[in-house]
Amino acid sequence: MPHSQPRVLVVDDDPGVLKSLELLLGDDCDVVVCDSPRDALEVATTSPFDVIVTDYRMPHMTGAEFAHALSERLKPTPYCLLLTGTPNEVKPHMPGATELVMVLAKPFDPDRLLRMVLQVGRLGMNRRAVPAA
Amino acid sequence: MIRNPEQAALARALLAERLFNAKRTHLVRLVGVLFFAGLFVTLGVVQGDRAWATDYGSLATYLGLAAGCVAVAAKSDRFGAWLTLAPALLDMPFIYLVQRGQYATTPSPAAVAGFSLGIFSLLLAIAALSSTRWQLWASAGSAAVWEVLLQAEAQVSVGARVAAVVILGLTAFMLVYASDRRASLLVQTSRREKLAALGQLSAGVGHDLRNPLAAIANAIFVLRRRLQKADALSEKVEEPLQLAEREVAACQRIVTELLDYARETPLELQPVDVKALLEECAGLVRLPANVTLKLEVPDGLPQAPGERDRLRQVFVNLMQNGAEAIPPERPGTVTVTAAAVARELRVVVRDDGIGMDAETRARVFEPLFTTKKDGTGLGLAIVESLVKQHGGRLTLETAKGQGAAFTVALAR
Repeated sequence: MPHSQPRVLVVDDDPGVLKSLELLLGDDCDVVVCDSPRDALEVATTSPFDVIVTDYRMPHMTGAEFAHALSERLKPTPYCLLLTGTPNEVKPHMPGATELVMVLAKPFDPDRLLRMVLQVGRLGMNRRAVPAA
Repeated sequence: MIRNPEQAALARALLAERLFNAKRTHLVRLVGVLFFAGLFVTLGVVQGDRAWATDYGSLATYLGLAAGCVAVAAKSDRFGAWLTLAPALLDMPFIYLVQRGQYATTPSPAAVAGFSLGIFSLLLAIAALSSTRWQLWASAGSAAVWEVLLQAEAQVSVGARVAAVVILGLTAFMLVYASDRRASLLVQTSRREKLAALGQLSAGVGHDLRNPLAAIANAIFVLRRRLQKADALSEKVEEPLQLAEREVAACQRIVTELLDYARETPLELQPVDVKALLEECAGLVRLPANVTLKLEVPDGLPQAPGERDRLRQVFVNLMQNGAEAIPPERPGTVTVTAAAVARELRVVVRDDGIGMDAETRARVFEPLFTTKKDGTGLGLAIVESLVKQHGGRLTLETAKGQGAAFTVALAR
């Protein structure tokens, strides 16, 4: 099968975290990394992804705003996982919050993140298999 | 005496302030004495008013000594520290001499004695600016003795003498109370400043460290998985790997606690069911095998306004602390009780562990103070700050060997 692995886009402005997430997810997923949410919007609209893992605090826009912007450009929207050091700042009513499948508070357990991405990734791959009506 | 660096610094600051006040006081005294000497000389000698005739010898001596005090206090702090006693040792006897000198010519010695009571009270207030507790009481004693002598010689009634002593005593008491209160406010202010500085510092450091730590934790995890897949997880590799995992987790815990401490976002209060919350907390405590955790929480407690996650942090912290206060070689119990008292909801977390001595007790809420080998010294500081943010009170009853009881009182 050409695409037996979930396709994951990781967005984080910290190069160290970005690289480590690429390593963490890279063994089981097709990972594309992006260090700016603006570029990530471009990348996500040009090629399809099953899961997007994004940081919350980034320059130009927050992770939630990024998810919101994505949901306006892309249907179905890829499943978004948000990583944040300040989970209290993420409110249920803020724009984009409904697009977030999961909010993970930092410091997160790498094992947990990996399992989460794989599970959600499977959902995404199933959805991909059925062409959108 | 409990001495810690914070208190020592405070004592130094208080001494410096006392010396400074003493120097100013000596100047004021000199001006006051000059004024009265001028008055006596003008009215008594120049105008020939016999009511102002006095013992000019002691007045001149007094003036000289007052000027001496100013000179010595300006030159040497060591003598200056002793000269804070000048009002008690110099002023009061000389006022006695000067006032008594008027008895020969004044129409009413009793009035002079009554007037002196006012001067003595004023001197006491001036002395309070530069006196320690015992110095102030000594000044009050000295004032009482000279005043009673003046009144006795003026043949004032015994009742009035007793009243004068009581007035001086009460004045001294209020002055001591005021200066104690001021010192304790200073302690609080200096602690608050320390906390604020720590908060800013830790927020900065914490944010900067969190991302690198996350990257390291991820990298270690990847390393473990790849080794596992390659079937290369021998004991030789396992040991350093575990060490790295454990230490990264410790760093992350410290950073999380620092950031919790520095948290600036305001609380979002909602009614909290305390019984359910305490049951949840009990499940989150890591209990050693020798420790029993007992929840004695009645049904039907009123709800308390609070932020659930933060209150959970408070109670888990207190219970964990209680469990850790029990030495591993004997069984022990942590008991949690809750009750609605007056307008408060009081939760008491009591352990029968090792307790704390007075010194630990005094510093236990101070950030970065810890008696644990691997503690950050932030747990109880965070608990206290969270309880305060809820508008509640946190109190502690403990003695060495007697266990400890923390009471969280929340407004309901």
